[in-house]
Amino acid sequence: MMNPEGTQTIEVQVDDQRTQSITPGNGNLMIEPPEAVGDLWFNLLNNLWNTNFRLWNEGPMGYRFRMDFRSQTP
Amino acid sequence: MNDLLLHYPDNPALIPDQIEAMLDGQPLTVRKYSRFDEPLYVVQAETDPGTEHEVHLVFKRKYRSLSLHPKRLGLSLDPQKKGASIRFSGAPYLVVECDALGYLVLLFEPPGDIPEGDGVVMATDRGIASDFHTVQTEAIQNALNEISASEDLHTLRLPAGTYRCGDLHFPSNVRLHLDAGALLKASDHAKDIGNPAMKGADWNRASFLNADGAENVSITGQGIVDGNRTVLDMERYFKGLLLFRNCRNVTFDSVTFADSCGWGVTPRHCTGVTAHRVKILNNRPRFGCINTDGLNPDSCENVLIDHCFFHTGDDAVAVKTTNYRCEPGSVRNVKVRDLLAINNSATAKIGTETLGEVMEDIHFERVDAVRTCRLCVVDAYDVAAIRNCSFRECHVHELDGNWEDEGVIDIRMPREGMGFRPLKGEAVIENLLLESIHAEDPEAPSSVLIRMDGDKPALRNLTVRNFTCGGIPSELKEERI
Repeated sequence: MMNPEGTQTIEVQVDDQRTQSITPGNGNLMIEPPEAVGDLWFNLLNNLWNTNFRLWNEGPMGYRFRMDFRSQTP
Repeated sequence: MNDLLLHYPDNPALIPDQIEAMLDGQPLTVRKYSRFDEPLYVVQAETDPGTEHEVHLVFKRKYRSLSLHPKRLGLSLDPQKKGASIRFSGAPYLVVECDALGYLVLLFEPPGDIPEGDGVVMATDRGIASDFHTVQTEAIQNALNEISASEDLHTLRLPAGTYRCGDLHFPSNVRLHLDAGALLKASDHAKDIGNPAMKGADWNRASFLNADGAENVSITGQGIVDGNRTVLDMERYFKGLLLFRNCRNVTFDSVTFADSCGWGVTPRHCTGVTAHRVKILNNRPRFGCINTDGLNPDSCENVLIDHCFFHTGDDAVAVKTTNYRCEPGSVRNVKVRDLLAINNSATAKIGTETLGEVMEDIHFERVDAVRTCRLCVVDAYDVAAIRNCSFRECHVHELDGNWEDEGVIDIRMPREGMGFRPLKGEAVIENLLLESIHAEDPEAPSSVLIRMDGDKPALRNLTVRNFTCGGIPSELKEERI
């Protein structure tokens, strides 16, 4: 992910892109595989198998994300 | 409009011999389950949820009465020549009862998603072809295993057609998608049923679809999974249609499970189970009971059964904790809402097996029984502490106690010798709410039947509000046994 000046790359570590609700790049994980470039998307719709139990339930939800940012100086 | 039952060319039961249906002027296929003890007629079509629709029905037999369910939707039958029409919006599940023909189930569905992309494996790409006679167990199982082992694949998609197989065993990280018109049907032959060790003893038999210890497993789409009970009778081959044990994150979405040999869908010791717009169409005799339950969560946590239709010869939904091939576990957080049912025993039930330590936070909401024997039931036969549970907005059209005592609200805590099997301990029920429970029939049992051993204070904090039979407020009555 580029900062506004376009001079620094930040690597975002996601453990397992198939099972997490988070994907960098393209926002629709159900249709297309994520692209590890561009904006950071939080896909709260579902996962590849439609088995995200919490998302089938009505009512407010709370999510906690842990992201490890590592700076890379070009 | 998309007629979802149009593409089953191998099934002669598709001939509309007694009912014609039109949706917005377009003809619909009427599927007749003539193999059931009491025939069932089914229509299934996609509708635009944002548009008002009209379905027109013509009955080819003389009839005296028609009725439409569920009543809570406020829809009406507009009488027409030789039939009736119904105007509706959205995608409801409806039942029309005709005294001359029986039940016609109208299943209107929103447009479903069809999985596409690199991670989707088309069955035809793995040599799995539509064929009513060829058994393809190995090819289908291999495809499921390949997807599970792959980092890139996630879905096996069956296009419209008929696929025959023996028992399948789902690994982790697999979605099986059945397009509209796809029929996955159990083989006609015992030799195709694998794992002989599972045959024989009552609870040790395999089901048609199985999983053990898997996670992220789903069965989706408008197709049909058929247990083929008519050929594979329940005493010799399959125990039920689907048994998932020790699984995590399981979803059944939009699919129809038909003609189970025994219990229909059983998640056992699972957590994170969702059944959404699931149809269970099992054999149901006119009289008596056959053990074709609908969906029975057994020792499960986090279960949602949402907007489903169940036609069963026994219970529709029975939340249990059993010791069948397992140690009984606790039950927590089970929600059943917007359930429409036609069944011969209990519609919304906790029990009968209550062998685990705790059964808590089990909630039934908006349950409509067109015909049942008992509507809201707690059968606390064993040791579990049943607490913080509720039944709300439950409605029954016809109570039929042709084989056991009928009841609108029925709570049983029998002592040894009073049940149909040996009991294991003494149950406790506390914090049970029953609210807005209605029976249409003024002759329905108008008391809350509480059948318990008179010496034990085992029922604490029971609340009953707004309980009516035929519009008349009912009463609380304890029956000591």
